[in-house]
Amino acid sequence: MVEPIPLRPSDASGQPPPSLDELLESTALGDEQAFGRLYDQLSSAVHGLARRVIRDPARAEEITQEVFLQLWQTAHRFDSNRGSARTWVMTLTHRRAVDVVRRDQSSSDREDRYDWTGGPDVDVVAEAVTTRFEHEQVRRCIGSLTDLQREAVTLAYYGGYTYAEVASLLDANLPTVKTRMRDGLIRLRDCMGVTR
Amino acid sequence: MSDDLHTLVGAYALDALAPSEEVRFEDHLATCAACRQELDELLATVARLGEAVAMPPPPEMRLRLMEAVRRTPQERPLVASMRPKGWRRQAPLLLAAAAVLAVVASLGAFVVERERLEEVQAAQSTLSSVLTAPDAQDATAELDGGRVRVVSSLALDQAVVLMADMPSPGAGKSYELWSIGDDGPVSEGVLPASDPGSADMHLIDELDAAGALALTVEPEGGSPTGKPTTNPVVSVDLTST
Repeated sequence: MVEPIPLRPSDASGQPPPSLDELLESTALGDEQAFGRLYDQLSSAVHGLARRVIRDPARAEEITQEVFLQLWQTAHRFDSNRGSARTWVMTLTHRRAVDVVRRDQSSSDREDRYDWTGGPDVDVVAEAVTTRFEHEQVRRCIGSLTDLQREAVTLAYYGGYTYAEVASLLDANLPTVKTRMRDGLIRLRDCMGVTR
Repeated sequence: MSDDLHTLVGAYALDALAPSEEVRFEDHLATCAACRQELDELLATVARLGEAVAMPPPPEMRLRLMEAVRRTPQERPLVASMRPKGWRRQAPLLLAAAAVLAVVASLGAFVVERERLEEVQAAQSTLSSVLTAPDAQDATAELDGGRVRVVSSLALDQAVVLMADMPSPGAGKSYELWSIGDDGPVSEGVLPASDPGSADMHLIDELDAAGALALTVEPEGGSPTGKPTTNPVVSVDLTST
């Protein structure tokens, strides 16, 4: 059975559905329904990132719930001048996931854990569902980085390593890694056309 | 040096700095608007990396979470709930609300155990309705550097009393709050001893058309007679703004 695709999504009132920013603002006012919608729209992204960084499925679920509960409690802190709701939520998620990984595991464990085959992590993204245009774009943009940029960025972001750990894993010096992280991200930003 | 710090923006956006460097970088951020702009863009960029590995959580998580949300108080619900109601006009009252919030926060309102939660929420909703009442009146009196501020609504017959930096009533003494109407003073309660420099608030549920509120110094625990035993150290007239 094929459902007709509405030209412009709308709810019963004929209004366009609220943006994530608006849902977050309503959440800050104690609107549980808005929070539920926020969850529906962001839970896959939050859970996927937590899962990727933490690896342990049960722990990743735990962190996903904690992140959403934190969102419920602190939604009023969201500042739309600094960026989108989506970015804010992903920033909180990454922070939390990285804290967990650094607390839970010694770095030697993580070194064992990390999948080194084939150079890290262009494949990470390829493995994941990449039907959406944006994901395709992310994959392509990661592919456009130099090897060192790509490894520095993906080890830090998906692996949760500090830049000092990244330097030792890649056998590169600290200032180089620091610089590659920054210019790698700048290249990604320009490739994806990110403003804020 | 600051150049060196600035290049940390990439590692910072990736959460890849050691805690000590993080602090140094955040200090730098506070003084560097260009860095904040760059950081915001890089955070939006890495967020895309995160979304690219999306994976739905198990469906039962939603139910668990919504259950948890129902039991979990939010930070600063008062300010949030007042925001849409014409805050410009009510800016002075919002300042009063901020003082209340300081008290509520010092009580640790968002970590209160579940039983106390309803109580706190009820108090907050009374506060918020008084502070935003269309006929709300706002009066302040001073006492040795301390301030007593009363926001009252005749229509609601309620008042909120905010006290900040009150001097100690003296050893073995307490402040007692009175509402003064046609039948003379009626006790509204003894104020708990508070630390110097702290703030307190007090709700009066039924003003009964009292024309003034007054504070007296009484023996610890309150006046033994049920009437003031000393002259008021401060009084606030409720009949004019």
